[in-house]
Amino acid sequence: MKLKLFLACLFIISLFLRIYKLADRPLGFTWDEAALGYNAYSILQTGRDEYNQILPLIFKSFGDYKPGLYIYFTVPSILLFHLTELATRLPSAIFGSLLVITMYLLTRRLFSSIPATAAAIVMAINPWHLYFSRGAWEANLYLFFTALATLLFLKRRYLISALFFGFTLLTYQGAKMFIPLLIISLWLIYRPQLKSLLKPLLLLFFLSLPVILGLGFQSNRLKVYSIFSYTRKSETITEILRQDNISTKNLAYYLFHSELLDQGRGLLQRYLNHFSPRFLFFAGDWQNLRHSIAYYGYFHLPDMAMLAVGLFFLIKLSNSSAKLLFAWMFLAPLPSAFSRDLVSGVRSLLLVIPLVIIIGMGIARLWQKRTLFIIYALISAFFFAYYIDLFYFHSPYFTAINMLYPYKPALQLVKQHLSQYQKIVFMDELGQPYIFTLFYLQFDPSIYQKSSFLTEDPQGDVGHVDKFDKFEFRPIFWSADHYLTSTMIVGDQYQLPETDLVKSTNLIRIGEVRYPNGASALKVVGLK
Amino acid sequence: MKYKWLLITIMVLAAVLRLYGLTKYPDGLNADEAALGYNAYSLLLTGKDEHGHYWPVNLESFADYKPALYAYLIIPLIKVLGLTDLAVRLPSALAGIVAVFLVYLLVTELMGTELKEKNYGLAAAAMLALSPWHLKFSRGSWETNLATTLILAGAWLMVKWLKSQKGRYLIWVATILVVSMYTYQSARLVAPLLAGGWVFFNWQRKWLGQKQTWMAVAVAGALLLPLVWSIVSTSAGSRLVGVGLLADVGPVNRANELRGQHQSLNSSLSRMLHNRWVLYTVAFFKNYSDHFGGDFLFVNGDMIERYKIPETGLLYLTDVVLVVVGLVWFIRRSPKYSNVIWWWLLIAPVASALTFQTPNAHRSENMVIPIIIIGAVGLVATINFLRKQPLKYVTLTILVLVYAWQIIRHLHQYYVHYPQAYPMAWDYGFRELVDYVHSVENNYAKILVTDKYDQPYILFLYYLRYSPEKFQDHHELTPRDKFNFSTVRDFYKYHFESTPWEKVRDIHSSLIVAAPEDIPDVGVNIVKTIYFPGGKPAFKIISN
Repeated sequence: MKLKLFLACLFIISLFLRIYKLADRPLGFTWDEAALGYNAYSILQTGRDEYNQILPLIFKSFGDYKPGLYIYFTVPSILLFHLTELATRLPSAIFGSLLVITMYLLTRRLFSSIPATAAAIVMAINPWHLYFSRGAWEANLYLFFTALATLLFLKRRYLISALFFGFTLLTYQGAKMFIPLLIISLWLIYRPQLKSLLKPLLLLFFLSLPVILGLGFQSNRLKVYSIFSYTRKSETITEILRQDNISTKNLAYYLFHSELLDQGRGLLQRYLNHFSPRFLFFAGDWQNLRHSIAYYGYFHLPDMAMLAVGLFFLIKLSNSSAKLLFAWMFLAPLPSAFSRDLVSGVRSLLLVIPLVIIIGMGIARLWQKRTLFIIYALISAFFFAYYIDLFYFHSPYFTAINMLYPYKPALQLVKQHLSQYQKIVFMDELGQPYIFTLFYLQFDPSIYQKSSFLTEDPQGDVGHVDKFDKFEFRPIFWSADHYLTSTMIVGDQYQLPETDLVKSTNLIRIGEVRYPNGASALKVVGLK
Repeated sequence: MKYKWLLITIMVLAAVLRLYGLTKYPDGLNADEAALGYNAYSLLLTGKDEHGHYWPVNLESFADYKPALYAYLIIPLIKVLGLTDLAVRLPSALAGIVAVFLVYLLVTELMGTELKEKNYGLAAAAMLALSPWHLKFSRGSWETNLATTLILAGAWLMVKWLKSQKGRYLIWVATILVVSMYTYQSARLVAPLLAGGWVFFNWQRKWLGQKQTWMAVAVAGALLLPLVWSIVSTSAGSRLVGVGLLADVGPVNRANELRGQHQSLNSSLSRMLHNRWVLYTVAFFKNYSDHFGGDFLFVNGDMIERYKIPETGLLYLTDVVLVVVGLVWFIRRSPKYSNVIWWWLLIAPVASALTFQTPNAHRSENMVIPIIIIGAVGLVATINFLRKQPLKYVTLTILVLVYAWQIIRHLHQYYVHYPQAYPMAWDYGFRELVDYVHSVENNYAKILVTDKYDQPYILFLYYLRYSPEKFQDHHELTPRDKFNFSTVRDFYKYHFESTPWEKVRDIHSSLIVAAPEDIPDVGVNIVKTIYFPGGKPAFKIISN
C-alpha cells in the first residue's frame, strides 16, 4: 500500500515536471513535431496520412519515412486537445512519466527496492529524459517500450515482451540496430528455453515485417546518416601524399592513411563522445541545441560521483543483472556512433536507462552513510533548481532559433490576413514551412491530400513541398517578387531587406516576429 | 632469466625510441627549450640566470618563472657537449628511459615478485616505452617529463615503504616528491596532494609515534624552504594568475548574461544561482573531467600543435579496450596498495584543471603512468584470457599484429608527418636564420626581427651563444602582455618587433627579418628566404 502511494506520488510529480508549460517550453516547435501532429490530425479526420495513404504503419512525411506508432498515440490526444503543440507533445510526456514507474519496477527486478527507489527519483528529475519527454520525440516512446519490454522479458512474459519489442521497431528508426542486439544480449545472459520463445519470436517477426519490407526505399536515408557516406576532402589526401613524398597511393598509404582507418577513428571518436563527461555532465548534445538546453549536461553534476560509485560496485557484483546493464550501456551509443554527427543526444537516448540505474546503485550505497547522503541530496537539489531556472527562464534566449520559434507567430499573422490575399509566399530558409502552415492553419487534410506532392531530394535527404493551395514555399527574390500583387510574403531580414522595403509603394506591413532576445526573425508583408 | 632479457630488450627499445634523432625530431628548438638551455649556459658561465639572478629557484625567463631544476641538470651536459640541442634535450629523454624501468619496479612491487606476476611489470614497461604520450614528452626539453619520472620514483618508494615500513624509504619519498616540485609547476600541486592521499588512505595510527615519520616531515620541510622563500620573495606565483582558471573571464560574463535574462537583475534567487563561484566550480570540474574524455585520450589527443601528433591519440586506439579491462580487473581483484594508483589517476589532472586550456596533455602528463599501469594490467588479463580460449594462436597473432600496426603508424606519423603538419609549433628555421644573420651583421647598423614566432630574442641568444655577461645587465624585460608573458625587445644590434612593411620600409642600413605575409612581393630587396619543412616560407630577409 505504501509502495503504491509512493509510486502514485512519483508519477504525479513526474507528470507535473513533464507537462507544466508543455506547449511553450522548449519554446518553438520542430518540423518533426509538426509533421507528427498534422499526420495524426489527418488520420483522425480522414483515416489517411498527408499523402492519402490509408492508415499507414510507416509515414512518408518529408521523405524520411517515419515509423508511425507515435502518430497513432497522438490521435486521441488531438481529439481531446485539438491540433495544438500540447496535444502533439502530450503522449511523450505521459509515456515519459510512465517510464519513471517502469524504472522502479525494472531496477527492483534487477537489484532491490532501495536502488529502485533511487533510480526512479533520478529518472524523474533527469535533464536528459525531461528534455525528450517534453517534445514529440518518437525516441522517447521507443525508450519507454524498450524498458517495458525488457521488464516483461525479465518477468518471463515473453509474448507480451515481444509485442513491445515489436512496437519499438514501429516507433523509431534507431531501434533497428539496437533492439536486435539487446534481444541477443538478453538471450545470452538469461538463456531462456528456446521452446518458450517460439511464439514470441514469431510475433516479433510479424511486427517487424513493415520495417523489413520498407528497408528497400529507406536505404537512401540511411546513406545520408551513415558515417561511411562521408569521405575526406581531396585536398586532405593530396596534403598527406605530399607529406609522404609519394605521387600515388602505395601500400604505406593504405596501411596508415586509408579512408577506412579515418572512418574507423571517426567511429571510435563518436562512440567515446557519448561517454565523455562533456556530453553527460556539462554540455549535453553540443552539436545540436535542438537536443538539449544550453549550458547544462544530460545529468546533474553530483551524479558524476554516484555514477563512479555505482560502477565500482556493479563491477564487483558482476551478476547477470550487472551484465545486462553493461551490455546495454556499451550497445546503446552504437546507432549514434555510426551516424554522421559527432555526438547525438537523441540517437543515444537509450543510454539513459543503464546510467540512471547505475547512479541509483551508487545512491543506494551512499544511503548507508547518512551525512554524505544528505550532502549529496542538498547539492543535487541546488543543481536541480539551477536546471529548472535554466530551462524555464533562460533556454528560450539560447534555443529559440534552433527550435524554429518564429513559425508560430508568423503563421498566426498569416492566418489573420489570409482572406485578403490570393497568394502567400513563404521563405523556405528555416526548413519545411509547408508542414507548419498545415499545422498552424489547421488546413483541411482532405483537401491537402488530393494535391500533396513532395519534391524528393536527389541525395536521399528530406525532400520539400514547393506549394499547395495558394501557398508557395521558396526563396524570395525581392527584385522579381516586388511586382507581385495581392500577395502576402513572409521572409527574414536578409530576404526582405529594409532598404528595399522602404522603396516599395504598394507595401503593407503586416507584422514582424522577433526572437526572445529581440533579434528580428521574420517579417510579414503584403503587396496590394 | 627470460624476464631479465625481456626487460633489457624493453629498456633498449625505450632508449632507442627516445634517443634516435633527438635533435632532428622534433625539428626546430622551441623558445622554452632555448630559454632552459641559455639560462643553464648563463648559470654555468656566470652563476646568474639571463636576467642576472644568482642561482635562482625559478627562472624569470619570459616572466613565467620556470622551475629551474631542469636547467641545473643541463649545466653539466653543457660542460661536456657545449650549448647544443642534444644537451638541452637529453635530461627529458633520459628521464623517460628511467621512467620505463621505474614503472617496471613499481608494478612489480604492487603485483608481487613471483615469476608469473612479473608479467604485469613487463607489460607496463613495454607499454610505457611505446606510449605515444610518453614518447612525445620524452623528446624535447620537457620539464613535465622530469617531474613525471620523479613522481613515479616517489610512488615506487611509497609502495616499498608501505610494504616494508623501513624509515629510509619514507625519507626518500619525501625527498624525491619535494624535488619534483622544483622541476615543474603542476608538480607543485600534484606531488603534495599525492603524498597526502597516499598517507591518508593507508593510515596507521602507530606512524604518529615513530621517529621515521618526523624525520621525513623534517626533511620535506627543510627541502621546501627555498621554494617557499622564492615564491614569497619574487613574483613567481604570478604564473598561475596568467594561465589560471580565474584568468578566464568566460564564467563571469556568463553569470552576467544569465542574470540579465532575469526580470529583476539582482534578486537574491538570481544571485544565488548565477554567480562566479558556481560557474567557476562547474568550470573546474569540467576542465578536470575533460582529461578523462575518450576523444582526448584515444583518438585525437591535445588540440595544441606543440603537444599533439596529427591524427593520433595520447594512447593507441585499441588501448581503450585494455584500459576498460584493466579497470574491471583492478576493481575486482583490488591488489593491496592499489589505492596508490587509483589516487594518482584521480589527482593527475588536478593542476591542469586549474588552468583554462583543457584538456591539456602537457600539464597532465603524469597521468600517463596510472593509465598505462591500468592498461598493462588489462593487457595481461586479456592475454591470460585468450590463452585459455580456443584458437588462441589466431587471436594472439591478431593482437600482436594490431599493436604492431598501430605502433608503426604512430612512428610514421611522428617522424614523417608531424614536422610537416605543424612546422610553426617548434620555431623551425631560427638556426638557419641566426647563422645567416650572424654572417652578414657587420654590414648593417640595425637588425629588425619579427616577433611573430614566439620569443625570438631567446632563440637569437641561444644560437649566437651570446655572452651572458654582456646580456645580463644590458636588456629590459617588457611589461606583461595579456597572456602574462614578457619579452625582450632589444639587445646588441637586434630589435624584435612586428614588421609590417609600412613600418619598417624607411629604416635604412638595416637588415629586416620579416614574417612572409608582412612583405610585398615586388619592390623589395629580398636577400634570402627561409622555408619550413613543408615548403612554405617562414622568414623573408630584406636588405634595406
